[in-house]
Amino acid sequence: MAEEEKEEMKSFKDLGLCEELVEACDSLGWKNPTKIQVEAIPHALEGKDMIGLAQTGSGKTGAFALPILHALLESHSKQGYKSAPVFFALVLSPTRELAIQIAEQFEALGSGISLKCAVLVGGVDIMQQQIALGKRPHIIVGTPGRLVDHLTNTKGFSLRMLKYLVLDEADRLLNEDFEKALDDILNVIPRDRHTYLFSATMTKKVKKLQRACLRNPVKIEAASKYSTVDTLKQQYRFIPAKYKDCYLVYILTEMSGCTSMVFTRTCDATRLLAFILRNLNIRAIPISGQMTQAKRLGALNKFKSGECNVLVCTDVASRGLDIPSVDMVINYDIPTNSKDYIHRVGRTARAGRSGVAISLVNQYELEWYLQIEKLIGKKLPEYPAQEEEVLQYLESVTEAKRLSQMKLKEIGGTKKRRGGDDDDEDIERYLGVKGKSSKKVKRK
Amino acid sequence: MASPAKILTYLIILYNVDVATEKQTEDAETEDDLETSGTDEDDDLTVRGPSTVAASSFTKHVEYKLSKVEANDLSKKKWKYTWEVPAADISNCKWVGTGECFLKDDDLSSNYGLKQKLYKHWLDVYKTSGGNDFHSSKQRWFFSLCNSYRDILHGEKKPFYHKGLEEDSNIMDAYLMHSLNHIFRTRDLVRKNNAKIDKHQMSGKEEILPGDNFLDQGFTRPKILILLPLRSIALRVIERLIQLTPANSKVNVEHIDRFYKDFGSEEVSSDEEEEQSKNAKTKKPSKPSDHQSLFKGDTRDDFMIGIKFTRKTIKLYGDFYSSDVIVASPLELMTKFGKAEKNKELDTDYLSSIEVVIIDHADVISLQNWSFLTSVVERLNHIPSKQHGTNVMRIRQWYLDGFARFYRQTIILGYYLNPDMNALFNHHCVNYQGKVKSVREHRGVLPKVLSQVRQIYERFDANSIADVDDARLEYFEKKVFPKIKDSDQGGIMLFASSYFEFVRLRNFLKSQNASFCLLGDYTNQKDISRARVWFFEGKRKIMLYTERIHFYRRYKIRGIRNLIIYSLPERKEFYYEIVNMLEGSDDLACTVLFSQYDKLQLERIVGTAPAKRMIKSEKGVFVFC
Repeated sequence: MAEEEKEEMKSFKDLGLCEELVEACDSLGWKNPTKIQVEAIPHALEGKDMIGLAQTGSGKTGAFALPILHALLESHSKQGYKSAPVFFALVLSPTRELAIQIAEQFEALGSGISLKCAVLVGGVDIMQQQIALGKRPHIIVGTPGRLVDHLTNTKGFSLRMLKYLVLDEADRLLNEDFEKALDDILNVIPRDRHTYLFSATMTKKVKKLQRACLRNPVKIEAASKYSTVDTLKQQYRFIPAKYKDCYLVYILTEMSGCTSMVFTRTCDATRLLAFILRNLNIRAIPISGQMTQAKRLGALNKFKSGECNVLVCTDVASRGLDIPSVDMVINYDIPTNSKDYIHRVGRTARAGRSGVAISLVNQYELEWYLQIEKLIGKKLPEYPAQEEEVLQYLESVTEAKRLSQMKLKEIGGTKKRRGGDDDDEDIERYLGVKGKSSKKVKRK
Repeated sequence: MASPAKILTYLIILYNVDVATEKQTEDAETEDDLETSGTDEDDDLTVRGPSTVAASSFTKHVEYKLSKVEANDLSKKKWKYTWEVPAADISNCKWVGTGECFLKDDDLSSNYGLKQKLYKHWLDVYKTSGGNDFHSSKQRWFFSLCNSYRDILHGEKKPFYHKGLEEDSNIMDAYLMHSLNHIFRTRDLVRKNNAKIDKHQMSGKEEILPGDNFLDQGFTRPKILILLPLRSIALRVIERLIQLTPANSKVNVEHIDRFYKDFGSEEVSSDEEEEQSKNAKTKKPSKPSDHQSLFKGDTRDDFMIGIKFTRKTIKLYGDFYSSDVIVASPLELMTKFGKAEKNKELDTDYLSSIEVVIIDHADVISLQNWSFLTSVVERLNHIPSKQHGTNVMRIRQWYLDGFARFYRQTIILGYYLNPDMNALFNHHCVNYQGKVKSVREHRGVLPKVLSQVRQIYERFDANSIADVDDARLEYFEKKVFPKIKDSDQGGIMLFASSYFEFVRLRNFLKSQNASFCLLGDYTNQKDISRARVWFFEGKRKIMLYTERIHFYRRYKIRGIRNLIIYSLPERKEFYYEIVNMLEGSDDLACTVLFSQYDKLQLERIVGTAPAKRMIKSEKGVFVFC
């Protein structure tokens, strides 16, 4: 406990960061460094390679961005370059969204020092990215595939000057999907560099990579292996399967001012649930792996902008997406893999804020729930609610569910006929004509 | 003469050869570029004495850093002409410009800013052609104007085909030297940097990325675009471009034969001339000399050719992406745009990095189709749709920032000015260096009217430039047409300057069931002959005639007794040519409609001072005898 207090006392300045960066943190409203930042930054400033185990939201972007910017400024002043060195650091991320978010963080931190940052992800115009590279960015954030594309096709772009490599969500970067691209990249960057590796979990593959890329890395664990943040209030409710929707609606109505994420197991469930919630005038938006990149980003932006305050999603969205202001996470379906639970609840109570995570457990999911409790090493309190109050919603929820199922059947029918296209359209209905669907139903 | 079959096989062989060479260009280019530029450096060392450390205007121009604020200001397109300098070579003419006046001081930079070897060569050419005072020569002066990198609108250039051979050639020499200078300096810089980078890499130091030292390129290679109306003119310009290139840079001129074949040198075009002379035999060869001179060569208006300069050769018909200069007609570029729209594989990105555009004989282009030209200029300096093998780390920042159009110099040259040219100059040219244009006091051409006819000028009023067309037609319908409607006398010629006016008049005359015949842009030969006969014989009372058909055909219309100039011709010579067509001794009449928005044409015909009076005066009717 004493140690923790000591850590909390620390400021960014105490970590040894230079003046400009301390100011930048201050202007971003970062009062004190998070646990992982406190642990990581001093080592990084000493020039050591790092391997960090931390889940999203623990402030790990800051943990690698700050030391990199510090080094950038230092080399700028030391070596007397006219302008700071280009292509100084490369951050690889498995998803486009995460890459964009990391770049945003870099830009926010570097706004005072005219930092240039290029994002190289798929699905975006290549020419514009080439122009961004031509503008000599200091930092490149990207997904492996598009980065390799540029390394092969963009004349003049090389990473031979690279000083820092960061692999974020390394466990996912080590998927087979990225293996080839990652190898290609590692082959063209200098061996003489600093490497930071961040991962939520320590898998065998990560260990392998660690041996390959890192030199005497410092291992940093911001938290015990699988634990959740202290500011997170975790609860569960044991309920019969048939009342699950009803409880969900009850909780969302009780907490109607909050932003929430509702996790389901399947993509279809996200659509059905979103329909039901919309019928009940709850501003919900689904996001799932079935959607195209653009639709996903669109849905995410709706949620970020506050137009919708409930995001219904599968585990696809549980990692990588940076949504700073989620107040509540509801596990509508209990994850079969307990590690997913950690990821899911990691969406809330980030960066020192408080948050709520509620798991709705039915008779069939009990086994999985118990595994989760085992993993996090504590018994959770029950979510307090009067069942009679909850069941007042039963009638309207049942009606909404019936309507939504009808509607889904309609869409589903067309789906069989036309193949994959309809899904986009379906999403369009959520994105574009938000009010329309709910109104229609109301009239009925 | 070879048989057609032989020619065909020859052409096919020629074509194959071209394809082969084009494929090789890439390799060849790198070879060229890898050569270190030893001689050039020597050149510059000799040039740069201690006193001339100042950077050339090329360097100053391309290395300027335009701020966002400046770019915004330029986008507002508000120009203030703050200074004027009399033009030495043209009477009653002066140059006016924005920004600071740079013409007053003598050009002190060594070689007037030309590269040493270009300067030497030009001086030789000048001397061989009999000149002895290069400094005060017109071409030197106009070169200095071009070399200021300002946008230039010169609408007082006597054309080569109309008593202006010398003046026209001088100006052409100047802009061609400017183009060569721009290209040679660009290429030199690229080569020097290539050499430096090579050296760097040889010496083992891995990387060269940082620093702005190696920013020397655009998205694509073509830097100069010359827009011309006719193949014959392109021939003239390109031939001269080759002549003005120093000997050691044109050891070999590739595809020159094909070029002469395509663009019709004197000999090759004999076929066509024969054809023309056949036509001429049936009619009398009585066209004015300027018409003969302009249309004697290949008059087709679809052409586009890329010219690439390497250290020792000039390559005609280079692939557009590896060329330095593109010479084209607006029409051909429009065709290319059309193709690129239909086929995604094609593109016109080679226009993305044009730094100097020269539009010569703009007046002839305006008699073709001005809107094509505007579209072409609008498409310049866009960010390309794909990558074309340029090293992104060497692209100048202002290209990446999308500021290229603020660095593009546009030079518009023509015999006269019209509102379209002014609009292009004011709205599509946003060079940060500013603008220069020529302004002239006209004396008018009224003394050249030989027939004894009172020319009555009637002014109609229009509220805005947008209303002019309606007001003109209304005035015609209400004030002019009633007078001729009921007269029995025929021989009424109605002259309109533009095709749109022609169409409106035609529709109006149709609606009035008037007796009239047409000589318009799209009337076929047979109908024209018939119309002329009918008109002469009095079977049709009114003939509708346009400036454009007069420009292309120069008909001598017979039987005109009453001339109504619905709108004044832009070419002042046409005014007296047409008025002089009036035949007979008595009751001839000539009526001219004009408004305050016709100032440009009016002043060329009646003179600047009278034109001002006529526009401002209380009276609305003026008579010239």
